[in-house]
Amino acid sequence: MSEMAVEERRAPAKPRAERSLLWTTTREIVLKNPMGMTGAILLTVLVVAGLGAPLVAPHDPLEQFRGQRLLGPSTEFWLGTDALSRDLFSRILYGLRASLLVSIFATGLGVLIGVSAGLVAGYAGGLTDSIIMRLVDTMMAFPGLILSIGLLAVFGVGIQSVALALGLGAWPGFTRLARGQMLAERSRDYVVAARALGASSKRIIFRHIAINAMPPLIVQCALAMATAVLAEASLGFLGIGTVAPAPSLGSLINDARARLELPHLLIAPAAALGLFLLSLNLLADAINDAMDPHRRRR
Amino acid sequence: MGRYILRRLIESIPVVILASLLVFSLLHFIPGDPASILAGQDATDEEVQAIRESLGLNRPILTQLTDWWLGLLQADLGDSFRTGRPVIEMIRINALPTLELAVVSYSITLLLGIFFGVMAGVKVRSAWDWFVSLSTIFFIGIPNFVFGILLLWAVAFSLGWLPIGGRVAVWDDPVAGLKTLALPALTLGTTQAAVLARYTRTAVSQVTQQQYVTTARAKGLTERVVVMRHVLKNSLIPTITLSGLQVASILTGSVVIERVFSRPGLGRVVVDSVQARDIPTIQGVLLVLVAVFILVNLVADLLYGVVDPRIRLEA
Repeated sequence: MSEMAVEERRAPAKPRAERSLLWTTTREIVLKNPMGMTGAILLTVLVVAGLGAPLVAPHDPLEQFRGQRLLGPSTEFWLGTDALSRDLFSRILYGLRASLLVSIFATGLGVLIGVSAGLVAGYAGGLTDSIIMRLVDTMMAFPGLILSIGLLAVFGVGIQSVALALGLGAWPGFTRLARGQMLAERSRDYVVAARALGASSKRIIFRHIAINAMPPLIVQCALAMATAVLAEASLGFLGIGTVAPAPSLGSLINDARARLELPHLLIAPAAALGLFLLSLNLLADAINDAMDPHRRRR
Repeated sequence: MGRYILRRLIESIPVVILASLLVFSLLHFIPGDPASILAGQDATDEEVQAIRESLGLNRPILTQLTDWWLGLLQADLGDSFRTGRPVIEMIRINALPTLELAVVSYSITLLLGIFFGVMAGVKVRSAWDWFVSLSTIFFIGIPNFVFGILLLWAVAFSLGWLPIGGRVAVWDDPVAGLKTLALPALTLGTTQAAVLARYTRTAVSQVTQQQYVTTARAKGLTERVVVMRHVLKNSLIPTITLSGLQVASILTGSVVIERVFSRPGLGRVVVDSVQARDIPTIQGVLLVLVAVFILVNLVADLLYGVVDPRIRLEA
């Protein structure tokens, strides 16, 4: 830490305003907060391992090695093999990949629909606001996972359906938050000033207010991703996530349930899932701390 | 109080109507022609036509909607695709094991959650507080179904103390019934209790810092009276809100946990229906769960009024 301070002092003096906001915030989240740092490192490793699964995985996750059923960990099969003689480590990596892709897509869809609807509702007010918010109330009246399961029945089982179903379940949370932010921001002086300058509603919403309403939404994103990861795993566990033989962390855990005599079959995918969830939560907490001026340690 | 209850009841009507509308429209969200997709790829034209007629898809949409609502009023949720039996009957049979699990789990949640939350909140940074914080972190990383399998492995498989799974009705054989219920209820109950304890802890520790609590202590009241009479009541609002929402987590949780312990119940119905794309059954289960959830939230709102007179006087 002290080394960095020296580095900073030696660097050619930069006007303060020019130092990017992104960098200062990132520093606050990752470098100054051990929990945030742990979360960020863990998440980076998991993302690289998951997205890079085709390069990292030692074997094809679907390849069956004849006569090599339910082996323990070895140099050839790092975490051993499953009941169908497939390499468990590679299956976990591909499961992680599925989990990542689903949660990124679902959260993205949730943000896209949710934030736009929330900003519009908060800005427009009146009837538009009422209609959007009643719809949000209704969606929120459904217990989360159950709604996604219902949508899954509609779309048919499969990884794309899971992503879509989770995304369609995720947006109301973002709408509530974005609307609240919008209501808090819209009477601020800078909005009045922008309007006085003749800016269009669209420009005011998306160029001015959206930027200022960002911090809590970023935290919500991390939490929504954790929710999506958990939901994807639960659906996989129930056998209505990915279509067999494609692996998902949940389906691997379900496979392990039938073989309690081999606990490593459970522990390995459960650890991957657990670390994934933990890293997202740690990061969300760190972002929250960094954004909240009351909790920021100077 | 009467006016407050009435107002809350009236306010929940639009949500009930919209929710049933959403459930109704699920069938129509199916991309393409629902009847031919539901019939499967090998279906003949006659089969597709039969499905279309049994679902009433050949009639105008408004007629379908009014028929659906009229059916609901008579507790008619249509017939299952998969089994051909009335959906309401399937729900009635399978709701009992789920309800049993949910009620016991929820009691565990409330007992453990509020007890540990209050203990941790009254003395911040005590051993209680540490325990609550650690269990929260534990349950963030360990989803309920993984925790369930761990319990299953440790208590039932390795130690052999309890059965691996299945269900015996409590009223048929109380001892065997409770034995099959113990692990699933503990799994679901403790995972939710950790969340509730965390919330209660925060609420209690905030209230404890208020001046009126200092006054109460200065009056020489015992710690027990200070906590039970003065702190608890004012810290209950966030706890009630969360425990209302937790009913939903318990209900969805039981769908998943039932599978861990191979218990019969709505969970199995839901999973089988999704795989078979048995939309009428899914619609029925969704409706029942939503109705329960809306009712619970209504009760939670009414409890606010009981706990905090300011809320009921506003009405």
